[in-house]
Amino acid sequence: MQNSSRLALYHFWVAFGLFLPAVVLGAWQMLMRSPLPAPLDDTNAYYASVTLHGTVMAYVVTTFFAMGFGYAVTATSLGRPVRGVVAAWIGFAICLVGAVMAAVIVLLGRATVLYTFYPPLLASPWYYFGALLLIGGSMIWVVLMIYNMSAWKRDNPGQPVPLAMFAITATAILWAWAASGVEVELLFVLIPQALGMTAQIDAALGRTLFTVTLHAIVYFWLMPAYIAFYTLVPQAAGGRLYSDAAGRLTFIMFIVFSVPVGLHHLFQDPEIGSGFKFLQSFLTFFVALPTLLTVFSLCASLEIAGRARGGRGLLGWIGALPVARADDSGSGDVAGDARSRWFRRAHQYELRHGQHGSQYGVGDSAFPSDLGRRRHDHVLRDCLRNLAAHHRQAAAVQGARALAALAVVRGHHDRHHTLAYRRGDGYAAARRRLRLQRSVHCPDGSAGHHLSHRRPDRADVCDPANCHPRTLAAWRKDAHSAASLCARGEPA
Amino acid sequence: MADNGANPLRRPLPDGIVPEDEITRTEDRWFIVVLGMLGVMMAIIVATGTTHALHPPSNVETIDPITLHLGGEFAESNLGAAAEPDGSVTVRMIVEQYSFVPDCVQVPADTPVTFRITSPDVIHGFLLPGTNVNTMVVPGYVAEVRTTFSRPGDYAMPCNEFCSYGHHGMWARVKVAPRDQFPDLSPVERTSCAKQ
Amino acid sequence: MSTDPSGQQASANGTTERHISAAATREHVAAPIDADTAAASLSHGPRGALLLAGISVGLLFIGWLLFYFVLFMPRGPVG
Repeated sequence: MQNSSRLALYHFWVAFGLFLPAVVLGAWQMLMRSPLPAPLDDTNAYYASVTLHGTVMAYVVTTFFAMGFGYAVTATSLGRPVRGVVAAWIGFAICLVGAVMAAVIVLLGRATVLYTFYPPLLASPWYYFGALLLIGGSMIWVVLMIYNMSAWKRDNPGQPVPLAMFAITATAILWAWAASGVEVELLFVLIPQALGMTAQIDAALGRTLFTVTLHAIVYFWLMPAYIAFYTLVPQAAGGRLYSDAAGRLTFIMFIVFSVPVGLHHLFQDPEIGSGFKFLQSFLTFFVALPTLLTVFSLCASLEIAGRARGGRGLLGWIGALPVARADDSGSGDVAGDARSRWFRRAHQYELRHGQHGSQYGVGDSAFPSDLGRRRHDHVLRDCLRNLAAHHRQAAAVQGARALAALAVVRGHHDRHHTLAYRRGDGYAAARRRLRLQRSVHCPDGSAGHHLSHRRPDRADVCDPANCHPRTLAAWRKDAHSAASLCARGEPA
Repeated sequence: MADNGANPLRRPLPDGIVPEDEITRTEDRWFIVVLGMLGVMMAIIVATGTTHALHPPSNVETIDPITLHLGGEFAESNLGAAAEPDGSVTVRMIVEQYSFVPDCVQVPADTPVTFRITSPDVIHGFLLPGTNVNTMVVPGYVAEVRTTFSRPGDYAMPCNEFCSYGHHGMWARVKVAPRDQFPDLSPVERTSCAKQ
Repeated sequence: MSTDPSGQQASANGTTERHISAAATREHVAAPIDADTAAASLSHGPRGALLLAGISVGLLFIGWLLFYFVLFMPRGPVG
């Protein structure tokens, strides 16, 4: 794993390390175009800067980022190190050499053709070789993505590939197709002319080949963001992806629909007839489909998260999303920050907790200092329900419908008196009980509250709807005894 | 969340979050709405394209860029605005590094105007801001753009496609005169407002 | 109260490595919800999502119509 993360990080370092100088170039270009005075006022330098800025931003930063992202996704979503790490490093080296070659020759002013190459304008062959190495070297990454996904499928027969891996492999396949256009243009149109092997260059052919790349490449740039939308955003919001199938369908649609639509960049060109232009226009509308599907899937996934956190109303759930911080718990300020408070139920809190083995520890600092004044029986309920749900899942409880709910009822004289009861149905209910009790056994030495589970007495198993008063009373008795037992131990 | 199997990137998404048929129904509904919207857009393009003559310039015609200036349609004496027998006007131009030849043309308003443009060297652009006249001029091909100007006026015309270092200085003018002010041309006469 | 962010992962070929993912630390990821909460929250279907997505796509559509009819078509014929 260490090797995989280093692989991804090195790619990111190259991408973001080159991003900053390219931004500076762009700013200088703005100054040059404006009436304001600019340092190094030179027209040729301006166009060279446009070329370098475009090449770095469009090819180097994006390709390196996508490759690093792919390796990171492979390692995290498949849960094992990337396979073919040696090949990956070779690919990294090839791409880096190509990028440096192209950058140096542009800086020398011998490749001022902008990142779309504009044949019959001709650059030094070093520029084209650099681009070829960069784009061709990324094909190693493509092969590795496919290889890692099929190896995982072979090792895990019958299981669906994790969506993130599925999506990045689709991205890789899309990039293989997209890159083919510029690779053919470089190999058969530009480099022969740059080396003097041909006397005349077919500009229209070069342009047409390049448009194969020109549109599909934007999806190559876009897909890491979409992967984040489908896998990271629902997780960060604490919700669920609305429809996994829609996610997979979206990525397949991107491959299918972005393949044939490059020609819409040539609508004004005299080398393409109206038939193909109309066909491309028609297909271009279809490539909007996966994006529009994503809009809906993403909103629905966030709605799950927002509603589960207490958001109400047609759009009120938006405010319930954990935008400020992923988890609102902190020492004392468990009411959340002022902004999110508007939409939250006032008595709903997040808890900082940790897992030790099969137990969850809940920090003392998780309880707000003014808890003594609050009389709500269901304080902390929703969050503890989440805690317990996760615990239950970890314990491989069967029965998808079983719901573990915890209510923490404050005692009247001591805010550390806590009670918990479990309301549930089905098989799981009869077998487990989750209880929040004060304990002095914390690994880090401080006192905390532990959630433990043990077999219930038969009397405790009852219909959830009727359970509340009787079970609470029984629990209250238990808690008093438990609390007094532990009170002899360390202080809070 | 520290649990091994709980990495959401890795575990398969659980079923039954929302009932499967509910998901399908909602996705289908959204699909239909989106497809409908796209269909409306396409229908608008097709309908207005035919009724209002809005098409991407699509005349495919090749020409030899090396010899085009020596004779034939794009010889220098044939450049400029010409009157066609059917009353329309054809403007022939050569676009090269870094000038338009002729660099000023005069055309009548309310008349079908056809621009025929080619380049002997690199790719240039031909754009009349404020109108839909916009085409690429690719060496080896004759770009043909047809339009009708509804308003008289003066259009500054930049080259809008990078053609190397002098690109930003490449300008021309198109003057649209009212129809009655446009000179009556004989079939072999060519006119332009380029400074001689 | 400390959290334990690292986990042991067994890869398919049997070796174990310490894998620390940002996704495993509390500070970076919100508390997860269980399946039934998720199902309950969408018991009436994703109406809010339909509204939000519908508004944004609707704005896109209106923008397209405006560009087409107010900007593009008045600029005259081309062909």
